[in-house]
Amino acid sequence: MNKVGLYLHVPFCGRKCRYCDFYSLEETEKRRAYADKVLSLLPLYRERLGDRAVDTVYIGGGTPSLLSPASLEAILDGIRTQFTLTPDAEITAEANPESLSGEVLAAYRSGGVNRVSLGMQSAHDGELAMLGRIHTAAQTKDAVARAHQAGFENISLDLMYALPDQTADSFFQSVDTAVSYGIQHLSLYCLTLSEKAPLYARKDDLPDEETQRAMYLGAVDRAEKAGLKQYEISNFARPGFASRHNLRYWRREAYLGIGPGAWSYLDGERFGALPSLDRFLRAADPAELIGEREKVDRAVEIEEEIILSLRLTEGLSARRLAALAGEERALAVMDRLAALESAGLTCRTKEGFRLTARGFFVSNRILADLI
Amino acid sequence: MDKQIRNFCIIAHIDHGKSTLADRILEATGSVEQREMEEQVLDDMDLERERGITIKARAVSLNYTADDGKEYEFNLIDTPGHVDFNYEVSRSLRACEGAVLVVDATQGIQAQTLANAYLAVDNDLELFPVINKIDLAAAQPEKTRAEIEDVIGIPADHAPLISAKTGLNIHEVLEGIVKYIPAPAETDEKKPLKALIFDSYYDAYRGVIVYFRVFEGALAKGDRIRLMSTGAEFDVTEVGVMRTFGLAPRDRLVAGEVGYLTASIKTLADTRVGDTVTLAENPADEAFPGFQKALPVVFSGIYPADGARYNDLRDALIKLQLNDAALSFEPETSAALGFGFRCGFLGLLHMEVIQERLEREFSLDLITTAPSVIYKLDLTDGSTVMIDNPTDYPAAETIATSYEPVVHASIITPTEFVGGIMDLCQDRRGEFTDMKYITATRAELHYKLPLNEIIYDFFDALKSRSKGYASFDYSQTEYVPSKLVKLDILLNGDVVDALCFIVHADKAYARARRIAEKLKENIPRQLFEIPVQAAVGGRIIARETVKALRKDVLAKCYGGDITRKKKLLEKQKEGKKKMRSLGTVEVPQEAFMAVLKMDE
Repeated sequence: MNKVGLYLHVPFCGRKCRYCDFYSLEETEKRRAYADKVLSLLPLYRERLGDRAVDTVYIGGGTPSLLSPASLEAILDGIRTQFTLTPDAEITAEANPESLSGEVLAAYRSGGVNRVSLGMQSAHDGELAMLGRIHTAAQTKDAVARAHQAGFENISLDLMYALPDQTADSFFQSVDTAVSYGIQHLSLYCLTLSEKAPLYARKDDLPDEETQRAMYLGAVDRAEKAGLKQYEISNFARPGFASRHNLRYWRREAYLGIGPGAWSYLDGERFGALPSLDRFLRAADPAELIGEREKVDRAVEIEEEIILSLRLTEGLSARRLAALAGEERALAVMDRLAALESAGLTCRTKEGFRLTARGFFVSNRILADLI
Repeated sequence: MDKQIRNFCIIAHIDHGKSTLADRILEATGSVEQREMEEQVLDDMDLERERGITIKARAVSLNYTADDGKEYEFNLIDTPGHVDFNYEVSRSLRACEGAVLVVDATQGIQAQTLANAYLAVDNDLELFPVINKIDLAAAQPEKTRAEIEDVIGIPADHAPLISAKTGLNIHEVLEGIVKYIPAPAETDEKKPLKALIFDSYYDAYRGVIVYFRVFEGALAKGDRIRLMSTGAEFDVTEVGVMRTFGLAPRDRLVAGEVGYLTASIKTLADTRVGDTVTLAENPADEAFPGFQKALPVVFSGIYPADGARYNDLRDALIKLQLNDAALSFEPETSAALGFGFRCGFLGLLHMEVIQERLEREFSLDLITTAPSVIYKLDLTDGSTVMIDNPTDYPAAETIATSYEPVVHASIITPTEFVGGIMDLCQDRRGEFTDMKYITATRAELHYKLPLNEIIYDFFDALKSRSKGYASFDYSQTEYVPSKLVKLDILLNGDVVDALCFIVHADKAYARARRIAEKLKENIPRQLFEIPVQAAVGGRIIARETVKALRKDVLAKCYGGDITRKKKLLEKQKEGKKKMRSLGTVEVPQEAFMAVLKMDE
């Protein structure tokens, strides 16, 4: 039986970050109602999965650590009792450094969470303030220490780069600092500013693209030297610690999203829940919440196989693509990737081609040419 | 003749108020109610109205009861106001006895005022000057009156001071037309028919509708006519006069009158402007002199931005040609741009008008290649070839002598800009002929200028150097020997045929550098570094580099939203479709456009 992943979206933040245009709310009084609603809808979500076992769970947001420890425990309990979890299931919970208290950690622990992902973003307080983050660099260090003490052995940190006025050295310091905390996983996200984000006002102060690329390539190098091997455009891990849940996204595997704004990919269809907490709180059935849908037919599968597998360092397999798209199309795609080899943008793998770090940084252009 | 007829046209420099005056005349003669007036009824093409210029001639018959109590038939023949259509202008003028010469009291005599006035005098027309825009604060009516007398050399003491915009003194214009424009000469109606075609257009239901002026004899419905240049004969199905909104059939038209005919004529090519219409059974002895086919002087490749729309482009050109016999086109294939058409135009304005109409009326996105004039080449084997397409330019060693067309240009400008304009003309390889002072503050400059120096952006450059005050007119004259070279443009090492052109050897370096810079600015970064080179005869004379793309990545994927990522890539792919793939290089439409705007 095929296994699935579970994503729970917790749409609350202590304060909205200045770069964020994602769905999350600063309000506090509906957090309890949200948790109760999740619990009451879990049986219906579970029905949607039938007999399929869950082998990855990801509690993301937003800021999950803002829910009360009691709510967190109740939700995690609910998930473990309602769904069939495999014994080795990876259960990740995101957290913000300032709100990852001992109580929250205890709730995560007793709820079965075995992987914690912390939004560190930078090792510099000035950069954190500019981003509108409400924690300091010292709080991140403390939070990682607390997580270690609580017994977590799979910790991931997120960093951001290409920030207004940021230098490559400043970013490299953040990378080195993060690595020095003894983590198993690192995500490096290039700042992408939507026009709606308040930080958009600083768009003219962003490092030039040459510098951004130097930041990226330099950070890839540093991470790898520290034993965190790149496995996706923005993700690095020690051997065996790649995020199994995130790999589902890139490997076109099934996942069910719970909560407002969460996406699912099930039974040949991608669908997104409406990004509205109020609608979620009123819903009697998760089916009422579905907004956008997309049928994943063969043509879409082919497109996804190309663009998603090339986000990974395992790359695109000629054999897998040929099985979906036929020999001719697969060969044509491989030819195009081969043509980029001399420019140092792609390289050969046993199965086909992958993008190099340089290639990743211009991957949109490469992918747009392939679909 | 029992009817009082006045056949006249209105001539003016651009924006001096020709069309507005025409509107007022239509109103004042009750031909059109104020409320149904859209501004400038006579210019009925969108583009004309927008640019305030008249592209094709139109005509209308009006009835006017004058102060002397008599009823007059006014035939107002509108003329194209631009030098590109000089031949058509002269044919329209031939159909009239006189012309109302409109001069803007704030600007005085301008280049096209003079050009049109001279053309009218050459065609034996009586000029009736009117001084317009006197409602404006900057108006200098008496100074303008003096200019008309001094520069054109006609009396202007009787010129009414009017405002076509407000309607002030329009009555004086109407009375002046009666008084100063001569009636048609009396002739014997029994003479063989002799009528001059001054315009025609294609109507989808009735075929070609021919506008003409009867000089001798008469024409009735049912007559069999002969067009004297081709000998082609047709049976007239309808004759009549033009009203403001449509055609009014009559039984017959006689000498002195202006009207239209239909005769199931299928193509405009059969009814050339300037041709003579006579009766098949009782033909005139000779046709009007001076008939010629309008020949294109400027050529350019026109390609659909989306190659799949080639057939749409062809259909659009065919439709435009139905009403514009001067437009020529033939299929052309470019290695860079695929399938398109080599088009010939009467001049720059004509070219711009056609391109705009293709884009606007037919919703086509176009890529146009650099315009070219016709070069004459004496080859070493003793033969002579005419080249209007740079890709056909022969190898340098096979050319004995090359020649390029040169025009006589007249530029009228406030004296403060003379220096800048002389620099411009110098820069465009102009040869100074002379300069005259029209008044103490305005001068008329004459230059011989190579046509290929003014087909790019001479108008724009002239305007920017004179704050818009200088006016310009030209006529094509002769071929002169010239040192010409073909400039090849290479992208990533490959020659791009659509970007190459012919240039004077002395300007090759400057032009090559400018084009390379322009291409560099307009070609977006790509996965590879792209060398942009310009070469003459295989020797590279300019080089720029489009650096490789540094960053184009979507780092994060929120909450498993793969769909958003795919949409982004789809959008990017759509953007790519608007580009032309030249080998491995993607070139946007703007890059082709940018190389045409050299002065920016």
